[in-house]
Amino acid sequence: MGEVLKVSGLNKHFALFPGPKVLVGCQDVHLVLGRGEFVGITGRSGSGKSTILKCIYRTYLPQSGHIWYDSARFGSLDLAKASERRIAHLRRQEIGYVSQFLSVLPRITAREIVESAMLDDGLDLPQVRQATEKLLAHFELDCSLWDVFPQTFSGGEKLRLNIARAMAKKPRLLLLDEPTASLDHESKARVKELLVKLKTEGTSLLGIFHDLEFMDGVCDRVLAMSAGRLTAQNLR
Amino acid sequence: METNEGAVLSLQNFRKQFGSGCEKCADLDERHLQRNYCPNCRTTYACADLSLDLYGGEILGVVGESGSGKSTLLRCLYFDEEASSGEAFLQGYKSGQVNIFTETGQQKRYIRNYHLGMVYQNPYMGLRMSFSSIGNIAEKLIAAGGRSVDAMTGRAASLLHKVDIPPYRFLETPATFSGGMQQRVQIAKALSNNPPILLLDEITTGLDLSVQAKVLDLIKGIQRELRISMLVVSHDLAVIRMLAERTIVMLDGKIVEQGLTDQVLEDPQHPYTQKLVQSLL
Repeated sequence: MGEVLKVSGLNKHFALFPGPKVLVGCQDVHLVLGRGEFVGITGRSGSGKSTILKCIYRTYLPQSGHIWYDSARFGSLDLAKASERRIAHLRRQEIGYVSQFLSVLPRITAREIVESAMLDDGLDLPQVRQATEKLLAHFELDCSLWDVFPQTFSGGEKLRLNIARAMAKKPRLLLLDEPTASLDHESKARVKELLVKLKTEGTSLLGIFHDLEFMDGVCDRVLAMSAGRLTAQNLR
Repeated sequence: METNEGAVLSLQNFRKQFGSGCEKCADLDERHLQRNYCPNCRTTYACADLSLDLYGGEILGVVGESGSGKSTLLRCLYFDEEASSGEAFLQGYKSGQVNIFTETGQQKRYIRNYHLGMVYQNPYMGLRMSFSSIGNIAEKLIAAGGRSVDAMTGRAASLLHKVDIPPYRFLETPATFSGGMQQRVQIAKALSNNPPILLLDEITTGLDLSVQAKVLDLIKGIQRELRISMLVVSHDLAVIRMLAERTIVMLDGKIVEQGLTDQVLEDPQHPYTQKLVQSLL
């Protein structure tokens, strides 16, 4: 089993202007994610879990450390130093990110959101139509919502759409930032099902969860974080 | 190192000053300016040493406060103003081997007519208000070598249709249009010669929200369908967040920060960018 992701010595702090205020995001983080592996991270709010994910996705620029990623297109590259162009390409083709909040362009329907994610992958339109409907149906989004702008959705519906969009691409690496935080039990089970399916299809997953019960049965390993450091490996 | 390959527009060490400069501000490192202004000789250094690359099919956002040199940058690229120094290369023009700033006036007109489209903040800059809408577009088409009236009318009508101008108003002058409609005619005009690069200067400023939404959807649609590269200047961060994949932050004529848009907005590295992001409603 090869490694898809290898984070070593990752440091991120935030310098706040004006003045010498510095917030610590994460310190000296080391972690390895194997191909097809599902690793969960847990810890209290503010312990730096999201910081790690955002550094990997390059929403944050780390101060030091390496994030080696094994890309299908570019081979092994350091996400902390790769050019913006490459990161943009990877975001389109290989790395997915699901946050707690759906942030989509206004005035685009749920169906179009999922379809455009798939069209990036080069499928043709009839195929995409069918796959989109299947995916939306799986998440139990009512078909009356498919052609509606997501701004009008409830929190849970938005979240399910968000996950559907990320899964539509079948990314090589999927980063999950508490995607199930506000979901009901039934929806969680649905998400879990699809995550397992993605995993068997070869996607590697790194996710943040508060819900230990959810992680049970899907995560291969669980890491714990506190005060910006990974404190325990393999809780399970 | 990534090469410049694929950059449809490459700008290097571009400077633009208004005024002659004096001994007090001649030395680039030792100059004492108030922001970008020399109080001694009243020279404004609007753009100081800008370098940037614009790639195929990409929307590059440029943000910064008023007077930071954003519009000057676009106006120089469109040859409305002459660059003081620096080099710019277009991939589609002489294989990107020739600095377009030093070309002859005739060649500059050619570049403007065949390679660039510009949408100004103020429609009065980009349109002839007393000519019909369709005539405005024909003007650009004639400049780009169009001679068949039928072909030009057809092209102009299809573009006006694309930007949602009703057919019965095609022959009316933009002076009789609302601000949002004028802006859309301007976009149609800028698109008429199929430019690989579109320069957009504060195109939604002053438009009400629903009209702004219409213009933004139009821009996004154009990018998706036609894969045109765009340089989008705006001080509205929400517009930039919606449109641009990468963003440049300018302050006093210099680039103080650049990166992926979400990175610039969520993890700003420069004090000015932090201030800007924190000011977001």
